[in-house]
Amino acid sequence: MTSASYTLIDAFLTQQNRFNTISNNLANINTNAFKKDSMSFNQTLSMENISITDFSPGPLQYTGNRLDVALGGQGFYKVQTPRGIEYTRDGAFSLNGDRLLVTKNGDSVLGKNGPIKIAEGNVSIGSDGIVTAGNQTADTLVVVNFKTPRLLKKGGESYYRYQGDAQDVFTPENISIQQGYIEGSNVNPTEEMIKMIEIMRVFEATQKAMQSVGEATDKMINDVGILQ
Amino acid sequence: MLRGLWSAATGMAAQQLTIDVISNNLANVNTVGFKKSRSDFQDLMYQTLSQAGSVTAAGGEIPSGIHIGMGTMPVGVQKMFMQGDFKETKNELDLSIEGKGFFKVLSGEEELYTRSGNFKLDSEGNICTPNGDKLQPEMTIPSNTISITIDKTGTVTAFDPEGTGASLGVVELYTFSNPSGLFSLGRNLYRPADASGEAVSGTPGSDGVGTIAQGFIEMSNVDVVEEMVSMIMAQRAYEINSKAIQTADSMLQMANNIKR
Repeated sequence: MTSASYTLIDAFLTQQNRFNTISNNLANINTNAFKKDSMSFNQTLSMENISITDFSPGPLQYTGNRLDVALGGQGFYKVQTPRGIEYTRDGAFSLNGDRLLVTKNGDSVLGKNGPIKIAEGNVSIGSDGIVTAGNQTADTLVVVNFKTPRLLKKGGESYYRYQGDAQDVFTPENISIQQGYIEGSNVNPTEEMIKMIEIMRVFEATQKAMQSVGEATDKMINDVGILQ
Repeated sequence: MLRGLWSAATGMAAQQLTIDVISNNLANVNTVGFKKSRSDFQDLMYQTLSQAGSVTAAGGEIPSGIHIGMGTMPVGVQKMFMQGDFKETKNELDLSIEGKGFFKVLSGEEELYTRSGNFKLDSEGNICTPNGDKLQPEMTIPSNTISITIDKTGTVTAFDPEGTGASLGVVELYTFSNPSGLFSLGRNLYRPADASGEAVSGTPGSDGVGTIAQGFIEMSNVDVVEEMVSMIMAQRAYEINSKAIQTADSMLQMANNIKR
């Protein structure tokens, strides 16, 4: 009896974690370049669940802002944060007082020669990442990809940290950067709603099972062994 | 309690902020020189319930762990300094800037910047904004002037009844390295801040500074259709986050009902 209730508690906790993941996806439905997570059961019998980030591209939205640059294909921008090197796909950049290209958190976006300083004049960023300002080339945006993207850990603030080896970071071929666009979130509301219904029903079924276990235990304690 | 309940609450708060920004944009759809704003969001921190790469009880390796996000947060409401449409008014003191740059005005003791060029004359003949803030550098139009011309490069010439023109000076424009970093004061005025950088003065038409068009005003750059689409998106996102809260509520209710 008790082993059945522990299995059911595990089922409750799994559904709760799945729900928390969906809720986070829905909260970020309008977050630039957000990538949805999902919970998956491990194939082995160890009963461990894992969260998987789906890196499929989000829709591109035209803004016309010259410092909004969306990554068309795979890859990530490299950013110098106070915590070290981190990566992001959120290309809604800005300039700081020193005319450095920064993310919305004020961290420098890195080019091939370090932080990118933008001179006076019109900024143009080519599809190959070459940043031109006032008729002179400033730098080239670094775009990287990873051999094992599952080792990317979300750090919040639209950043990712790579937990694998440094030699697994490589520069992809055929990058395509779109100036004047931002990448939207890849969360699909229909999919999340269906999952949410499913979770709620599994939760409900587990609750009923738990109640049955409770009733059976009640019978065992109070009815079995009573002499009529 | 369920973390998801709070994640969904941050989602609703974020969409509320988006609606606030959109409403302000729409309220200013006919404000001269108004620049629309956009809200940007980021995901909040992630809680790691199990670490990728750690070894399980069965001896296997966890391939990617469990990270659960805590929702979303607003990270900036940014002004979009795209060019607004021009409207011809034929009024000789209506100036619009084609391209980059701001007019400098003196509001009380403070130097502030604006893009709305619907200037007027005060009783002493000074060029000023509708609020009475004088355009810098100050220019006084002589009382016997019958017409004023301001050319593309900002040179102001006043003509007297005999038709002789007198040059009064040049309307200078000021640029910022990051106009999005300017502090919006309202009344179409902006104050320089650390993020915007210092104002750099320039002559209209040179060094990447825009040119001045007399007899035109720059309308608001708010695009009503775009704002409506954003509003639909924000409203539906608000709705779906409220559904997540309802679901969390039902789940908690079921948990409570396990024990009858």
